[in-house]
Amino acid sequence: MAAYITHPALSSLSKINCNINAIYCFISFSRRISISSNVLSTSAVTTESEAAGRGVRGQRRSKRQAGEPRTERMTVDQDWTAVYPTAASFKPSTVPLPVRMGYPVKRGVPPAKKGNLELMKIPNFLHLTPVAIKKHCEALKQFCTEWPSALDSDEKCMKHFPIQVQSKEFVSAGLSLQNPDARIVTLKVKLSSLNLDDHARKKMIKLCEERYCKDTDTLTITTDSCPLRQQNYDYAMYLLTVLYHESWVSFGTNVAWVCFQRLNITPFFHFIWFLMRREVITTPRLHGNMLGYLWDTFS
Amino acid sequence: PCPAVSLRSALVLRGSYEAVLCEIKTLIVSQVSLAEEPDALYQKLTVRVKGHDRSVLDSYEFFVTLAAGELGLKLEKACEPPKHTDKLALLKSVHIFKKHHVQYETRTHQRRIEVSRVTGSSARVYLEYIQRNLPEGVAMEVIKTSAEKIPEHIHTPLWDECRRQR
Repeated sequence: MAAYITHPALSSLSKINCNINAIYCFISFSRRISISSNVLSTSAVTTESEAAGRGVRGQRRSKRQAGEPRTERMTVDQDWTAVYPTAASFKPSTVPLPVRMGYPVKRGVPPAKKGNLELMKIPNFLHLTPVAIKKHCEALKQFCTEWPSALDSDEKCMKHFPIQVQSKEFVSAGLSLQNPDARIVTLKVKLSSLNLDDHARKKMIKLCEERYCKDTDTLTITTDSCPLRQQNYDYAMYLLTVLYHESWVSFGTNVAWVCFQRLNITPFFHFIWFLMRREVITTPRLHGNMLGYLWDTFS
Repeated sequence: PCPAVSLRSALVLRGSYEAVLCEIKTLIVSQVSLAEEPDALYQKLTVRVKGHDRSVLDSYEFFVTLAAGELGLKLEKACEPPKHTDKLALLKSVHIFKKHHVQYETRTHQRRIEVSRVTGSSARVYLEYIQRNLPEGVAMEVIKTSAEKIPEHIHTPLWDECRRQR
């Protein structure tokens, strides 16, 4: 039986072997034929196309034919969330839509979905259909809490919660997951909501310098000196506390302040200022350079 | 009884699939517990997304707005700030031919979604859901503006108390 099957591999083997030695060639030829015949008999059921594609060794695994795509068996009213429950790449045999994508070469049409790399590259939202989103939100709703109904407007929010703390979070892919801007904390508060009297308010504004905005009456403290966001937040609250308590301090100036208020001698002060000239009076330090502080408050 | 014990007992005693499923559901529900600390209040939650593909951002915006609506959050606005383009002009040839350049550009599209008046728990749930479903090639920035009360040590000045103590 083996003698009648002319296999190209066998013929090439016999050619190589016969060149070396006559006896050796005879033995090896017979041995090789017996081995190859075993191979042929086991794979006798294979089709012609696979026999043609077999390599020189002749022991390659047979390739299965792909069955019909899953889209053929899909019904119109199926549960799509079961087909694409999570984010997955586009599979043409799983998506029953006649989608086309790509450049129409030679004024033709965009290529079909089978084996289409463009469709596989682009992120798809097949797992996030409106039905799926509603299902997810139904399950997540139990972890949410309601906003208090008494704080329905911005004014009420500002009245009861005057301090606004702003921070940023970042989500991106790159060489590093961390973003150095995530540690910055900005604290905004209106001075009218703090317990300050006239003198303390003016001292506070003087201490804040450019962090205070006159139009909106807002003090903005931005902290980024610490490595963690929590630390920066604590530092910002600490700065606010220190500013507040220092603005109420008034050692030498309070008496003069009270005198000036009661006796109402502002024209006298203006005269003194004119005499002393503006350059001499420096910006007041924490415990107050008396004249400079008086100048700033009265002018 | 602790949840682990009840699940084990369900498996042993009943052994049916439906019984085990309802035990798991009660497990999940019982894990929702109220913490002692008060919930944070966010006056505004701004989500900024940037990407190179406009259609991907369109789909993501639809998903984000629908999710906000389903979870009961109030959406202030969902706008599209103008795209940012980086242009680059390089020499077309490897050697000489300075007169012939080729121009490349990188387009970065963005979206801005603002949600107002969210509690801390809702914000955490919403943001985690949004961020887990962020598509490839899209970056996100979240700006949280939280509203807080004035801390107790800023109510009255320190010096008044010192004077009173003297």
